[in-house]
Amino acid sequence: MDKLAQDKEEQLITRSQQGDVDAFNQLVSFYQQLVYNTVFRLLGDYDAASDITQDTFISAFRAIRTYRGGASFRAWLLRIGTNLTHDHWRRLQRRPTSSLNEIEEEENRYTISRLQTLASAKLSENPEEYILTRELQELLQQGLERLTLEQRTALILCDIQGLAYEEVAQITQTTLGTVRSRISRGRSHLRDYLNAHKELLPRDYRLSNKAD
Amino acid sequence: MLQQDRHPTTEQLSTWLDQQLTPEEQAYCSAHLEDCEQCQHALDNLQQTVNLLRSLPQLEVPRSFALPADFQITSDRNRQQQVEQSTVASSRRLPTPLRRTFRAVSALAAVVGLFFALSGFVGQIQFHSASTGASSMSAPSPANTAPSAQSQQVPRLAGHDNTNDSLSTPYNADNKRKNTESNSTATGSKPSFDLNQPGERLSIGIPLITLGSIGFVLFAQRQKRRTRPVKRN
Repeated sequence: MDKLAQDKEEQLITRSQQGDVDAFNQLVSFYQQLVYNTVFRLLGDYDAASDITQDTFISAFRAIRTYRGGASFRAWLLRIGTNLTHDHWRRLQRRPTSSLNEIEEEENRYTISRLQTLASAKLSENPEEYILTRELQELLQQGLERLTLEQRTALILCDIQGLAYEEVAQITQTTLGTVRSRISRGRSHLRDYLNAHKELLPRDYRLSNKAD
Repeated sequence: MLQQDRHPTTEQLSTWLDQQLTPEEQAYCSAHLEDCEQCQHALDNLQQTVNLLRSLPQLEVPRSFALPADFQITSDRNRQQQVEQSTVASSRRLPTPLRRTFRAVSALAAVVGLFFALSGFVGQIQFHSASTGASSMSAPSPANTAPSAQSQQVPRLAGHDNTNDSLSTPYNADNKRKNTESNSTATGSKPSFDLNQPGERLSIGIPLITLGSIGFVLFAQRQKRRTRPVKRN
């Protein structure tokens, strides 16, 4: 963020701390896509992502006077979001769901995800970025959901949201060493998962474990 | 054994991708990778995985997550309720002045009725136990001592608000007038609405209490019904 944007953000935060909802809502409009996507990638559930994103901003406004500027506002916000998401995830784990429910939910997910994919896909000029088919997107999402919650969080924040290790450490309230380890394990597990479903990968994508 | 023969760990390769290795690790890995095809492939695999993740699209938000303009910070228990209620127009949420007045009048009526009923009830007891027929002497607010009796009754209900004080004045005046009338006539009370009679007071008091209580409750319920949950945008 450049200096001008940084200053503007500080003003908005100060006004929010004085109870100015309009100022806070400007922060919301700036960060809501980030929060929503992070939560969605963590859970794979659109509705839950909406609810938790809303809860995140409500909690953030209620707690905004505790923001002292030590970590970036983005990190502070994502900490709230990931904590709420983790709570939700753990509640889900304690609740057994019937197999019928799961099948239904998965079918719904694919239908919605097709629309979402068409709405948000864009051409990339970067040769390292692929234009992913919806099957591949779903495969990646499934692969992510097979990771531990901690590995998944680290991977989403670093590789999907592009945050540096330092910021990931602030958000997850761990050390750089832990972040590095979780990211590494997450990537390896995901790589192995993708390898088991090679046929869905782009043609020019090579996942080989052996030399040549 | 040369250090380059020992392959970096997967974690080191992963961290190498993010340029987050310590200077020693960095130097060691770079040197090793120059010659080791195995590690080059491993690195490549990791890089491709990262590239795929980076290629996942950022979804558009399904709606705005902005807070309502009149959002107020409340306790956790009220939080959900606050989000729902705050989207209702404030004019609907607050009671109209008229509604408030009705409710206050109902409360007043109930209190006045209580006044009457209590004094009437006590009067009934004393009336029946009196040896002489002078009803005016036995009642707790007898004809001759009406003003002082009133001042006795007001402190009894000291817990209520000031409307009681304003009530006692018309009651005083009313009673004085009735007393004057009853004193001037030998036969005493008029056929109806003589407030000196305990029985009369009781028969006025009880309906007043009933009506007042009903009104009070009714006007409270109407307020609640007007608040309804509103769906989020």
